[in-house]
Amino acid sequence: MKKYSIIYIISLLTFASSCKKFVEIGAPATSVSAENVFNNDINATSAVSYIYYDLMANNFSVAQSSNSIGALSAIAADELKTYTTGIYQLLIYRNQLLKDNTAVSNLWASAYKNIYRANTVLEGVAASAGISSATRNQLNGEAKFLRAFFYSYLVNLYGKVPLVLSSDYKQNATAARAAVADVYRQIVADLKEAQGLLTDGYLSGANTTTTSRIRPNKAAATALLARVYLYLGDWANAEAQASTIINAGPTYILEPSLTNVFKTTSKEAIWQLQPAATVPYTLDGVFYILTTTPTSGFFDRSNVLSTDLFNAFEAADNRKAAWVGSITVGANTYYFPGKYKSTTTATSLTENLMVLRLAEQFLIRAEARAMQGKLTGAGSAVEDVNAIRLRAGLGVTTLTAPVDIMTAIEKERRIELFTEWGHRWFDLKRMKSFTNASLTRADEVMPAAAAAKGGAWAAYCALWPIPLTEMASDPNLDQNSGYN
Amino acid sequence: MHLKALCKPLLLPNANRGILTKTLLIMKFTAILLLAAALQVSAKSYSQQITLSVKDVPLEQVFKAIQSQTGYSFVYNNRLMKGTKNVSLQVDKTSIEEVLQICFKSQPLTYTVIDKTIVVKPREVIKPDEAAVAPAPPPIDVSGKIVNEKGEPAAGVSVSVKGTNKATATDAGGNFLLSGIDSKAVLVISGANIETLETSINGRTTLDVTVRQKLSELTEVVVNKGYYTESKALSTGSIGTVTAKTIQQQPVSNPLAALVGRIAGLDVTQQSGVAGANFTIRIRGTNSVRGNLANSGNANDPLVLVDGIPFLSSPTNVNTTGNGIRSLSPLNALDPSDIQSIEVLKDADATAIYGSRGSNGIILITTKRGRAGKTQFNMNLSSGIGGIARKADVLNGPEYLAMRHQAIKNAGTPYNAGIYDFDLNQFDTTTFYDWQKILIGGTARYNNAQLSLSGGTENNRFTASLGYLKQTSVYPTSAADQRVNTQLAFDHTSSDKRFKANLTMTMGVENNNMPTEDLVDWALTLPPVYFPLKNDNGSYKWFAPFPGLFVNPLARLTRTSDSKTSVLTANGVFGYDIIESLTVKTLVGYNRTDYTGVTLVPSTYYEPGTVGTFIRSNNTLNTNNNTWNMEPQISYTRILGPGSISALLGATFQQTVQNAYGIYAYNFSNDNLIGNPANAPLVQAGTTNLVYKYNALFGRLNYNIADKYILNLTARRDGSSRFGPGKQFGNFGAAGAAWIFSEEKFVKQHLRFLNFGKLRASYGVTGNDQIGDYNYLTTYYATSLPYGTPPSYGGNGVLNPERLANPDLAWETNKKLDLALELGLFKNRVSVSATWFRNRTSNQLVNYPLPAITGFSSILLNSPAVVQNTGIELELSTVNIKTTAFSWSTSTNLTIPRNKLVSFDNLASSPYATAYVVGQPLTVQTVFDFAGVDPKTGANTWRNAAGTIVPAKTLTLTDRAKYVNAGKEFYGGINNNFTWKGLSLDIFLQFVKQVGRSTNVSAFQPFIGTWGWIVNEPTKLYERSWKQSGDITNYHAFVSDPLQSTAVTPSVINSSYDPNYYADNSFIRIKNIALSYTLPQPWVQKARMQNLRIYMQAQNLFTFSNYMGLDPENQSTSLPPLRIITAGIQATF
Repeated sequence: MKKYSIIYIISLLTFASSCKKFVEIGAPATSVSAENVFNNDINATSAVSYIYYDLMANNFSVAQSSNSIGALSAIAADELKTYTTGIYQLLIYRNQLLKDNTAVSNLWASAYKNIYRANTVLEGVAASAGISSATRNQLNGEAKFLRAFFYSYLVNLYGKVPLVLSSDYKQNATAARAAVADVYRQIVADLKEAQGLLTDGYLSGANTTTTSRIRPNKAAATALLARVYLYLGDWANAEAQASTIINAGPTYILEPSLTNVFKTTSKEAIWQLQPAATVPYTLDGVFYILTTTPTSGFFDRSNVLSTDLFNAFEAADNRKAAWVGSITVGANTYYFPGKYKSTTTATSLTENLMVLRLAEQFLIRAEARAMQGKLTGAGSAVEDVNAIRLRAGLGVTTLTAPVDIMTAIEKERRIELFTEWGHRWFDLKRMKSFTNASLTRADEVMPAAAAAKGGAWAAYCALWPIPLTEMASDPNLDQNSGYN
Repeated sequence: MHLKALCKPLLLPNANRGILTKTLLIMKFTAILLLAAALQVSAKSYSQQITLSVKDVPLEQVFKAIQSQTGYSFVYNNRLMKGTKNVSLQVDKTSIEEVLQICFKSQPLTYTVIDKTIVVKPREVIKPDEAAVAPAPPPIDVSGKIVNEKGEPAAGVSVSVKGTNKATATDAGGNFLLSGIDSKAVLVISGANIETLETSINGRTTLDVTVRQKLSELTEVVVNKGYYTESKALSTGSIGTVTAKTIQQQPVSNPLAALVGRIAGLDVTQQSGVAGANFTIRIRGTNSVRGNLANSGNANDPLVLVDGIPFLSSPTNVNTTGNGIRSLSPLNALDPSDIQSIEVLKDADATAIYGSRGSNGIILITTKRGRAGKTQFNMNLSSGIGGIARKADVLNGPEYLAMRHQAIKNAGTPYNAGIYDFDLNQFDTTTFYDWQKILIGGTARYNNAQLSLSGGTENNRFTASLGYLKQTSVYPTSAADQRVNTQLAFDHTSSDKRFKANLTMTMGVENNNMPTEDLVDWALTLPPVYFPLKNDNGSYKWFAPFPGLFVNPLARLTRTSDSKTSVLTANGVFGYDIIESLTVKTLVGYNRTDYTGVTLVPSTYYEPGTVGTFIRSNNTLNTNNNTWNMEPQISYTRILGPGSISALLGATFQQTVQNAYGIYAYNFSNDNLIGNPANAPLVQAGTTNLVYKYNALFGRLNYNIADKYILNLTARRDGSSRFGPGKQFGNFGAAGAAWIFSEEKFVKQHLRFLNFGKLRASYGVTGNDQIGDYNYLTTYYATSLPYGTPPSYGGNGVLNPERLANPDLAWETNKKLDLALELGLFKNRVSVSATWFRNRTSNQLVNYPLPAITGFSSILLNSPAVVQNTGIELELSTVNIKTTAFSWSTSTNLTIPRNKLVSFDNLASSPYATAYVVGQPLTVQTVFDFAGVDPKTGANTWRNAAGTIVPAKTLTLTDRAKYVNAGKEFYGGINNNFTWKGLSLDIFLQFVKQVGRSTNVSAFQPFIGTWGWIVNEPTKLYERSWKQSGDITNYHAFVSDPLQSTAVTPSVINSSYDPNYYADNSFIRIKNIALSYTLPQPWVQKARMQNLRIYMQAQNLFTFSNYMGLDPENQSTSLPPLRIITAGIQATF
């Protein structure tokens, strides 16, 4: 029995080796620890790139497809008629939205998730010593730009929103809503900083220079800043920022051919998002292009241009042919947004998802100039409107009256930018009536538009509700009026 | 503390000393104290030669000097040192042997050197008078036969010679033979079901003994507490046991199913009636407020150990991403017939020795072991059928049409005409379908076979078994769940009885291709007016006018899932008695669970023409879970003062590695290619690798005075890798005490009817680390999204923060208090036990819901909440009638659980503000104050927080003012056993008093809890609904479209906030009936058999309940546990 005893003496004593070391484990092999993300340029860049990837690869992306700012705003406004029976989309469409609308809460959550990612990049880069100064500036610039970008949509969709500027959940979990002015102050500050940090060139995901305009640069920050000033009514600054890009020379020109505007090679693009990984098409293409009658069960492929928008195109407008798709089934012809042509049948990548483009800068400047009284002649609103009209194959406008010129600008915005990133919805809400300063354009347009959609309009509908789930988990949030 | 300090060098042949030194400083483990007084172990190293000069010093001091020079360690009992003489010694480079001889020369001690350990023991002194006694009479051989009161042979009864190790067991004929024993010896005859009897041989060589069958199990039953066993009568803890007999009389494939209703305080719910499905197990309530979410671990699951090895109890297929994939229980790979007993440890006394792992209680499964004697071959074959035991009462065709016409009428102007009334316009309204019959009304087949072999000698015993089980489903498919099990167990005892080894290996292989699609939802909700599901040519039919809107449930079955699970458990327990009453033991075990699941979605799954949703796919998931553990232990027993003390000290090392990899391949060009992911144009892959390490020191100290006063102390220091640096270790412990007052003289004299009486109490603290791994660590992961394979952007990879990490995570603690009274009356014909318990869980690890503005929907943290579970458990066993031929006995258990959120700091400002209420159970649902259905309009009306009836649209969450507690009020079971000669009948009733959803929301309410749509509804709902002006009811008018629906019930009223959705879902179920007949011995023996039994068994026979859905137990849209009726034959050769 001697041999057993030895085994036992040893095992008996082994229990004294109970030790701290035994229960220490490293990061799992399948993940990367936070230190290893922010100790080199390429991994740190990957952390920012995830935001673009998420926007392009996620079904619940705010950028494209069924839960996007573009599509949901388009049905809320007067751009699309939907055939969907999806209750949440239907309620948005009829401007009868309730506070438990999951489409609205998904959009909110996606935007804040990306703000969180941007904040962790800012914190990770700040704490890191292993990143080159060029990449440091670039990533800080992109993160600030992105944060401003998402807040600019949140504040327009929801009004007052919580201003989350760090990744610390302890502070953020009980954040209250910040005043709209404070949110804008932060947006302007972030964009100005981004302008200082970013450069004029474009970078690939691997930080090499590229002609693809798939990561934001200084011009992207400037373009967004121009829009923000316009929304704030700071006409002089809006004009100045837009001019910086319009006057930048051959880098940015209005694509002479309308069919090239949304291509990967577009010279009009200031910032585009590249379809993620190997997918050679945008989800907006898949979402809008009809191959048969609009579907009723899903929100995908269930939308056509509203009669009102379709009729707004002038007969000679080349944009109708270039950007509006159609399909005839039996006796019915359906017209749908056709800016993106590629769908699941695409074999190679030809289109990127447009986010910021030069045409909008012309229209921003036109409006800013008009509001400053620069109506006609050199350096005027009409000059900028005509730049857009000429490219669309239309004649120059000869209007002179301020109301007419403003009406023309609004119409050009509507036709040029339809179903892109909620422009129409935001324009209706922010623009004052051209004849009665106490009303907004939404007050004038939406009652009839909502009725046409089978719903009814009330002023509170201009803002979407703070999601019910957010109210339930953050006791300091309050609701927009009309939703209680 | 010598153990701690002196073992260091031994552990360090070439390891890193710095780390270990630090480590040892950390180990201030109080349990070491338990043994330090009685035992000292010392060691040091490096030389074989001793140079020493001492004068008149205690022997211990010399030992220390020797071990410091040589590395030899001494093992001895402190007590031995009391009688030793001081030693004087002067040696120079002398061998250890010589030095030891000098030291021990005049001591009352001797020693044995075992490698580098010197075991010191008392010198066996042969007393002169004993030595001089005349030689003992020559040993004799004794044979005999043991029979019970009925004269039937008592097989398997142990016959041992008192005071020696000699023992044997009777064979099937009750015969035994003992050779070479003292002619004056006393034989002790004992067995699990008989009363122990002692008889003197007095020179006889043959003797016949009649034994009495035991009336109650209370006194003799030995309960397993994992690290140690003890007599149930002397136990200080709360333990429930289910024995092999109870398990085997139930035709169930999963051992957990055999526990339903059997043990007080244990709540087991089968999640689905599909073979192989997982179970929810709760021991004494829900302790943790976090649910079983993916990143939170299985917060409320008990620890399951099979022969001491932690067994994976969470579903094998946790990491699947596909839809509709059911959770599979890994325990399904264990054959219930291989199980000897299942012990459920409930209170702190029983569980604290498991430390953190014992927080939610423990389920100990002990497998069968071989018995010495003639080799036995056992065969058990059974076969049966299964089906749905209870159909839900839903509308038939005419009733449905009446409801629909009413709903359309209520709508007034039709909304989206054509969309919400197509059932009336476009379906054939004269043909009706009974979907429950079509989709879930089939007959499942059940076939089971087991063969086993056991036998051996006293020193070498073995058992081997082989089992096969096949079950099919009630769905219209031929899919089956098949399982093969093998078990091998071998027990060895050395000839001197000092060394014991128990080796066990079990292997279960399960192949389950049951559909992952549960058709219950459709069986309940598809309108009885529909379209046929198949064309004449056998292809699937769809509803053309609305592509994509209607489901064809049969087509859903073409999505196949093939799950293969194999579970291997191997373990060995090696024990050695170093010196008398000092035993060292080591358990080494390994458990491996492998799962491979392949889910294929062919084109037939989809409706043709719904382009975009049409994706052929192959989802292959492989997971393997490897756990090894090692538990060295040392135990010691001795008489101390008026009582006996036993001590146990041990350590646990456990590592669990979970690896999973999955491949999702999709967009195959045709159905023939989907078997191989390589054929797919688009493939996503992912792996997970989780490491869990756990380490602990534990100890137990038990003091027993005359089997009357018993004190049991247990303690454990635990470390878990699930917490960050500095937070890994926690201390847990418990004290239990019992007073067996029936041993007191006054009871014996004055309360003669009371043959057993015990009061016991225990209090202790256990912990809980059942959270996911790595939650303290910030990591990044390149999650692959549906449209982004591989995850990259602009030519570079992407990285996403995986979680909100919390480096402050620390142990959740569960304080358990238990008080119990156990009585045995009238010679144990009546035994009663009543237990009151209180578990308080604090420092709760919770998945704190966060607003999305934080970037995540939750974070795991220690919350200041205290959750309390209290309860009363009552058990009553009675022998109602007992005659020679007939007996009737009843056993009943009842549990009355109560759950309460005791406190929650700053609840109002926390994200839980609307979820929980202090003073209410965790299951509380705060609901709106329902003001009835307006008799004029049929719409629901509501009161706000102030009590005023307001438009429903204006209600906010804060207007919810009423509470509904959905949960169990009490539950239990009653078993009646009748035997008459060879016939035995068991009838087991399960009962539950509970409040739950009146209907299943997801099944019956398509839109925010309203009805009247193109969906079938329970008949009761239809009958009670408002139909015309003046109707007084609580059930609103039928609605048929979303806008109408929002008018009736605004969407803020999530149906769970509506008090009308809760109802009494209590039920009584005839859970099991088992009838068996054991053929009389003479017949059996003629057939050269030892035993022959035929039986019929039925499970889930009838359920009585007001529940409107299918099964009041799982209250979900899963298939209810099936009614299974089997017949079988069992033969022993």
